[in-house]
Amino acid sequence: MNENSIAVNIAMMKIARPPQTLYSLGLGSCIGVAIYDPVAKIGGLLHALLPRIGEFGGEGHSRAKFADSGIEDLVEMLEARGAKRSRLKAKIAGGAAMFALKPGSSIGDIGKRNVQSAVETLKKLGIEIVAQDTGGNKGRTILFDVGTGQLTVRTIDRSVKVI
Amino acid sequence: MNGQDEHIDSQKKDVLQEIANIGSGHAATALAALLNRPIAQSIPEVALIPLNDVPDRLGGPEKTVAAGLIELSGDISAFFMVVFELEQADRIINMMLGDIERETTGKMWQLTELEESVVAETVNILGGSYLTAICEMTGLCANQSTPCICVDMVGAVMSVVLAEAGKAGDFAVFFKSVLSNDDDRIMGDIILLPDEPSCGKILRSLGFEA
Repeated sequence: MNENSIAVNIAMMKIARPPQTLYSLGLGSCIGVAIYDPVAKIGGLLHALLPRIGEFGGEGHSRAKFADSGIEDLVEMLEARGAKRSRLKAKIAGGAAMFALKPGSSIGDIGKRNVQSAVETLKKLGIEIVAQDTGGNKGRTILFDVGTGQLTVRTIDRSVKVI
Repeated sequence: MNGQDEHIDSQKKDVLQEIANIGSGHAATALAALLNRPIAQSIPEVALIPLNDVPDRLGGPEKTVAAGLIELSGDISAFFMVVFELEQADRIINMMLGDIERETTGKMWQLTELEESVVAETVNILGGSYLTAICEMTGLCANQSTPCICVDMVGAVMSVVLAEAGKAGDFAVFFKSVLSNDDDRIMGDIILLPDEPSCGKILRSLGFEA
């Protein structure tokens, strides 16, 4: 990470052009959604906490907190800055189950539901998911190179994968 | 208190801070008895903070920690968490196991089943002490789940409880006390994340208008 890296914290989304890169630290059950246009060389990253705005949203809630409304807004922002919907590609990471909670716990499957919501929303918008690293029980730090579309995923066991 | 307001009325904050103080004081005493050494606690912090700031207040989202999570239900609905520094969790495991020969994975972030159960039992005792103190003081009743343990980055560890808090709004009510040992080294943080109705119940039980 350097001066060109921009942090994308919980319930935030950011857009960047090369040489800038975007990153989110310590994703657990949250979902990171990276969307880019390889021709216009622009990309954005969303760090969503919850699956759907319809379930909990309303007054006092930011739209970027939810995977569905966050993705919709991110795509709109990218299009407003020259990206073309037909060229957009997405990569998603996160949605882990950090604690082995008892079945029936209200929060046990939040990671899985975040992934489902992101996949469904991207499909609805006609954006292809070209790579994903989701689920499991490990936290992830992600770095998104908006120029190449490369998404680097790091975990605490020091494994690094580029998807 | 509502999700739009970043501040808790100062008198109510004092009351909640006192609750946190008594809860974590009991937890510190229990940990001291368990480890047979003095444990000190900081003045607790009670705040309504943006969800985003929670990992930053625990050392930053990428810091690796050993955390225990207990769900509280009943009159008080909350998450109780203990977030140990990794080296300190390792010391606690050593102290608790005493002469028992310790099998280890050789990696601090990868606990064996026995090591995990030691941490879980420690969290269970801390949670029980904290909760009992609060219940006695308020007359409210709450059940605690068995603890779950996770060793990972703070951001990832906290995401589950932040998701729960995020259902109500963009802010979380956050009680934090820092425990340190006799050489003034930080052992970890004790955290309580009650939902807003539970804060109201606590205040009313003590005769304050919530």
